[in-house]
Amino acid sequence: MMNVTLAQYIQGLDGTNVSVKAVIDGETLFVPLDLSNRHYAEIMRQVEAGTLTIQEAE
Amino acid sequence: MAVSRIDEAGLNVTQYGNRNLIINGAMQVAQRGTSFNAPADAEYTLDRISPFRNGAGVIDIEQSTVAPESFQYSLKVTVDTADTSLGGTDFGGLRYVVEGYDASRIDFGKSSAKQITLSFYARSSVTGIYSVAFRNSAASRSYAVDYTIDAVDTWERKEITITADTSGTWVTDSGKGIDLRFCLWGGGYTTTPNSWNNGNFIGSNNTNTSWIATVGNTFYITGVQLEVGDTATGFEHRSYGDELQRCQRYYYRYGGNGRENLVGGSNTNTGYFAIQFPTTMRSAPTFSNGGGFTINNFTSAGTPSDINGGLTSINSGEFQTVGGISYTLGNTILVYEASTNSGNLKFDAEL
Repeated sequence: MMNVTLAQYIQGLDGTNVSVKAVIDGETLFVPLDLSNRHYAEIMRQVEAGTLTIQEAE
Repeated sequence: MAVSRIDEAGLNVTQYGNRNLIINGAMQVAQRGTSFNAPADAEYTLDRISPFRNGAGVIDIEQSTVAPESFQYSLKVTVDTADTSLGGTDFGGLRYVVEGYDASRIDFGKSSAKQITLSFYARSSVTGIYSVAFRNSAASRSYAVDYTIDAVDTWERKEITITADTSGTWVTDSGKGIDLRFCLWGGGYTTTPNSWNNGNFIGSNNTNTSWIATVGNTFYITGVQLEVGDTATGFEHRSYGDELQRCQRYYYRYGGNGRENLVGGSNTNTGYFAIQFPTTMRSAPTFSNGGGFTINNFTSAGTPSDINGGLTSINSGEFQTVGGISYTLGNTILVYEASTNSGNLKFDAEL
């Protein structure tokens, strides 16, 4: 199982959320909002399990 | 006289292309690097291949030039941390996932399901029984098969044919089609070989327990081929360029090929860059970067304080630079590796 220690939305040019900045297994990754992406699928699995919260974009 | 029909009986089946469902089966492509010290479970190493492991056993993986005739490379696994007493959740080995689109021709889960044959070259410092498992995406259907390493440190070609699975749900889109496990040790999640089972099994319960028991034991593999039918044909060698492009559907690394430039634009505080992928990726990829980059607005240059991933699709990726220069709305800017081969941009759409 991936160890996700940080998750925060990143906004695109139009101000909408376009990716999640996440630290997964110690590496900083930018994960697209696409459930066929294995990192995003795992992030959402942990969000739904209540063990992870995605912070709003800065 | 015009040729109206090719007599297939006169052709050697090894002349047919696209038989092999495995990408990078000859272990040539290594975009992430060639040596991996104690990679984590599911951390990709040589292209398309990751370890799976649980428990005390830890392995190292590298691209090796120890290879059988007609092959340049193999994948070498070395025991890094031994597991001398396998518990019920201790297991490990190598994992390869066939994309559903590619596996769809097998028709698993249908009455028209076909047999498949796996072949590969293996070499180990420990003789004995090893195993391979085939699973569906949900890990609710599994089939394990034994094979034997007969001689120490000697290349041996193995051929394994498994029966068709007419049951279960098998993914036929861009998801996980067939989850293939080369089991090197298994204290749990193993099963009786040579039949389809309902459940999650990563190998046979005959798998030896001695390989993982000693630090420094080695296992090499190359020439991996999975094909439809009950016959193992010769390995389908593809060009390096062909294999690289197939790999880039799942992982693309930009950089490391000299000092490459990308052109972008800026608003008042951020630079925006887009990069077109060399092939359509399996899914929108995860972005990451490493090494050093320089940002340049044609007046000054500096090192960006951050490079963030933006909107990605299966065809292109966007990333943003912050800091390093004074950004002006509408300006054209450049980003390039701070020194030759120093930086890289990575896009990961693996299964």
